[in-house]
Amino acid sequence: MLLEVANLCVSYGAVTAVSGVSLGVREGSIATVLGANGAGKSSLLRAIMGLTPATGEVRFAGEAISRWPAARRVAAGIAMVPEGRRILVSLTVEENLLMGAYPRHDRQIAADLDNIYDLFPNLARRRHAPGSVLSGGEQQMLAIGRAMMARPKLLLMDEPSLGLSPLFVREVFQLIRRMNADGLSILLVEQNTRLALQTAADGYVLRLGACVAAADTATLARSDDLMHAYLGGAHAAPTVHGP
Amino acid sequence: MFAQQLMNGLMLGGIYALVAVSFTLTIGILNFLNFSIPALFMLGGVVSCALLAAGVPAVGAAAGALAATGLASLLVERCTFRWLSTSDPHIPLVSSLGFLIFFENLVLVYFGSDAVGYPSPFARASVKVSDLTVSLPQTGGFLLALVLVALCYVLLKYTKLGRGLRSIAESPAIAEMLGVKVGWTVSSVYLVSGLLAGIGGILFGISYLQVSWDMGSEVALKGVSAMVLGGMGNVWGAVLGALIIAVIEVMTIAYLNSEAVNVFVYGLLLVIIAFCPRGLLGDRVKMAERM
Repeated sequence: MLLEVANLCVSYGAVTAVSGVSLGVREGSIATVLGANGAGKSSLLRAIMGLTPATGEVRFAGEAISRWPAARRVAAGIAMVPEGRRILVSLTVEENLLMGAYPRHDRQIAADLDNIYDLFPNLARRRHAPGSVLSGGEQQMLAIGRAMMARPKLLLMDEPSLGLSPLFVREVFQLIRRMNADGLSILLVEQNTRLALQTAADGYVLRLGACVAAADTATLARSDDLMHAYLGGAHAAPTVHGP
Repeated sequence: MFAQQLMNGLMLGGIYALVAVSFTLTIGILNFLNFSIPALFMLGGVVSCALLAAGVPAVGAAAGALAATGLASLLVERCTFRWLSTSDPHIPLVSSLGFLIFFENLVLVYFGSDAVGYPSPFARASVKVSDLTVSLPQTGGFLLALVLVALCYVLLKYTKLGRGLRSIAESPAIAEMLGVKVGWTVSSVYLVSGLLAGIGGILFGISYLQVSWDMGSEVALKGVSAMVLGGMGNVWGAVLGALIIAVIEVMTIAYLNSEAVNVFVYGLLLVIIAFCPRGLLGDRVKMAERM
């Protein structure tokens, strides 16, 4: 297991967002976390990243990282594509990408930047434009490119398809599969249950902050009852969300 | 005569610019109006004055004064901004004001309430250029101020730390997610901001040959005005605003009435702000939307 989470709890004041969740991401695999809005999926990712106080244990590549600040987790090889992209609109496209490499001190940063530009020619054309001029889909590419600039071993992705056109959703998921084929392990939170189950190997279902099912995605996809009970029938949801 | 006054105004503007940029850094990056900056300015002047008077060589006196202002600024950060995330946003504002009063009165107790002569090692070195008297320490200070502001600009615009700072300015949460050590980086803002104010205080002593416990208040008020006039969060705007305010101040004293200085300076500030609410170099697009 590259990432192991045991009995993780996140509370905001009196509100419990995640209560006692355990899960794992195998080296080189994609795992997905499913659940309705407010099930605690984002809080779970934020806690793994070290962005919100949590109790319980998080192990990454064999090391207990629960007490590490976010910066140390990034340096160790965890990167995140947050919900809503959250690119830095006051920085240029290139500066956004360089921010992804912030904890790095090696000499490969410029070469990695070129690789990202090869992958996303749209970003290369606008490298000196502010992030605010990009379309939603381009912003998602920038957010993914920014995360890749950290050279992560594990990528946490929070709703990467949200608000994207069908074309871009397809492109993002192709990209996810390609990055995974290159050896990147991914923990994917996704409202689009069908796509997530098709893409990931292992799945976890959250409901009201607790993990109510954990299995390989083929098994989860077959259990209609579970899907209907916990995901509000999202099993049959259309491929595309958003405008 | 006019050229002489213009030059005097620009020299004074260099000092205002340092203070204005000091304010600009904390408000532009951290969205925090640091009321303690006038005290840091004053500490730069008073500590270097005390060290010079005690016979410390000029370089040592400057280093000691900057060490004092840097430490004071980090102390203020410890006890104000760090509490911002967990408290009502007005509390740190008030505690930075508390630090201003505390530092000023600490110096008042040790130094007394009278202005003290500044034992400048350069005294009144000056050269005559046709009928202009050019003060060498003032000119050096003015150039130093411009170089420091330019360095701040380069730091913010072109360095990795600068990118980290601008990320924090936009979103501390995203900066943290990307691996920026936000706490450490915020401290560096306070350090740079405090050092700029401290250098401003030393240059004030060298230029005007006296320091006092309350020397920061008037200068800081002009510095804040310069920042607003130039456009909040814009380093060059702060410089432009500082030079304009200082030149108006000097011209008013020379040609009108020294009692009327602040009426003219702040009156003009109000007029400009009324027509250009985002300042002279503020965000043009947003200004256009407003008009």
